Amino acid sequence: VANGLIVGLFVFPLGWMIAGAFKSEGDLLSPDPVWFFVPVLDHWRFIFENWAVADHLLNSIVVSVATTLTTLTLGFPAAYGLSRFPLWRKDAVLFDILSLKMIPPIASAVPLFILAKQTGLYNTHLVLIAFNTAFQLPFALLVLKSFIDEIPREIDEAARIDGCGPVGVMWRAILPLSVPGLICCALFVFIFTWNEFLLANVMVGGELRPLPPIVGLALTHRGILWGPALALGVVVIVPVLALSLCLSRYMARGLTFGAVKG
Amino acid sequence: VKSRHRDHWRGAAFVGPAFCYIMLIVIYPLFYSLWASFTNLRLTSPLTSFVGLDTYAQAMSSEIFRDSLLVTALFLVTVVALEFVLGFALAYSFSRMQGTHPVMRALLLLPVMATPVSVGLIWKLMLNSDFGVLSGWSTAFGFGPILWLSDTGLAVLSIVLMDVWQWTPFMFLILLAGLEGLPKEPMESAQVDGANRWQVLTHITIPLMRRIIVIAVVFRLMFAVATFDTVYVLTKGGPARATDLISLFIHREGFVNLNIASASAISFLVLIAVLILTTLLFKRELVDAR
Repeated sequence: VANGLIVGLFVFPLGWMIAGAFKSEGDLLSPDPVWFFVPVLDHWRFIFENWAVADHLLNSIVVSVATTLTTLTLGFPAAYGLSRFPLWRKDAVLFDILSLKMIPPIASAVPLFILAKQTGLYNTHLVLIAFNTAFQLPFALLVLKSFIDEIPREIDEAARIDGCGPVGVMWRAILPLSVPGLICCALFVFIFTWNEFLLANVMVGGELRPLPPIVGLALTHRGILWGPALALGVVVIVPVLALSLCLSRYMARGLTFGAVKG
Repeated sequence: VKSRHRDHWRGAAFVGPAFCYIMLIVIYPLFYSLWASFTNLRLTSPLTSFVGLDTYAQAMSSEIFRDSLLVTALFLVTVVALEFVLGFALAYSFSRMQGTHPVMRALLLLPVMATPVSVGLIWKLMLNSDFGVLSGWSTAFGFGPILWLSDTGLAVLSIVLMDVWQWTPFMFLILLAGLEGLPKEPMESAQVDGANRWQVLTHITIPLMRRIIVIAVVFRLMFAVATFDTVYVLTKGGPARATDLISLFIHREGFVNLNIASASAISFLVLIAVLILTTLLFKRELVDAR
């Protein structure tokens, strides 16, 4: 019961926001918290009509899906290589990959902004996909490697006896067995990219923006429109919450980049 | 020997493309920051010249920068310590119960994955002094509304509260995985020898969990350095720079004041600090583990 109470404490703020998005202006801004109310859809109508939320939602989907695909395409062969082949100074390489992930994104945001300006990619979805892929790759490498490490070497051996080269082993033997790992990794990369705010805020403007900067904009102006802002917050968060629930089994592994097997 | 050499090349061929791409996008900014930090580059003026260490000297002597460092240090120490203690207590109590419901565990993890801007929004709503639910409760108990976000001390408390809510589940999860992976025998034999629960915890359980505790704390510390979205939405560094974390400081210098040189110098210092800290705290644990 005590643990249930604690879980409730952590879930309550999320529920409070979602409830708020369905409250009328009066209920929402009442000094006494309103617990029972008649749900209204005013704020939802508002954000779709006035803030073009459908377009920004589409931007978020395009950027996140494309980033996930490029990350896995680049990351899977590399993870296979890291798992199965010797490499010069391999420990150092693995450690470098991990420490790169530890660098706060804000520390590279300014140079990347200038790079985007210079290459003419500023204000395109391409630049978001390219940079997000680079930021997600270290994560994908380490997590995928931890999954591939668990596939027995006998599988490689059997494929080799059947006449497969290194690429054949990866493609025919390892890839089919890595599907759960790939799905787990894809969901994490999707969520992280979906949540990403800093790059999305500075690299693209106007109607190309994904959702998170739109929430940021709605909140930093004077005279916040609370109802629509909350509805927007709910639009962003709901897919993430749904996917996280599917991922809970792999959460420990994902959040420590494979260092802890949950 | 020859085939071993060939295997190295094969490994490099598989790892190479991804590794080079990461290096290009992630290492390039490092060198760019280093270069820009020795200049007076500003996006607002076309003339750029080398100024040596002037930018660093200016940053060091700037009160705003020093305040920001101080707030950041205070924030990091407070949240990591609080989240570790709470996360450990929670993990310990969960691990002692037989069969925690997986749904409960999944629900507990939602704050970690939740979109940070939405997290900022949630707390901006709950901490609002006019209609926030926390003020509503304090009024109900006769204390009157609390000015969470407009008082400097309370604003720091607000960002700590938000961060503890968001990240305690992360500590909980990793420490729980650690606790569940421990062998049972050492604890049982200590209990047979007459050790009480507290002694078993401090003398056996915690030493056995050393590696996982280091992983949890270092990961959390490094993610905490990167804290940006949530605080940007909740307080934007205010009031009166009370919550001006280093990430918000860099963002303002670079993207509002367009002072690229200063933003780069500070970015570079943060990069170096993070890399040194990660190496010092973590290299041995990680290499041991693999």
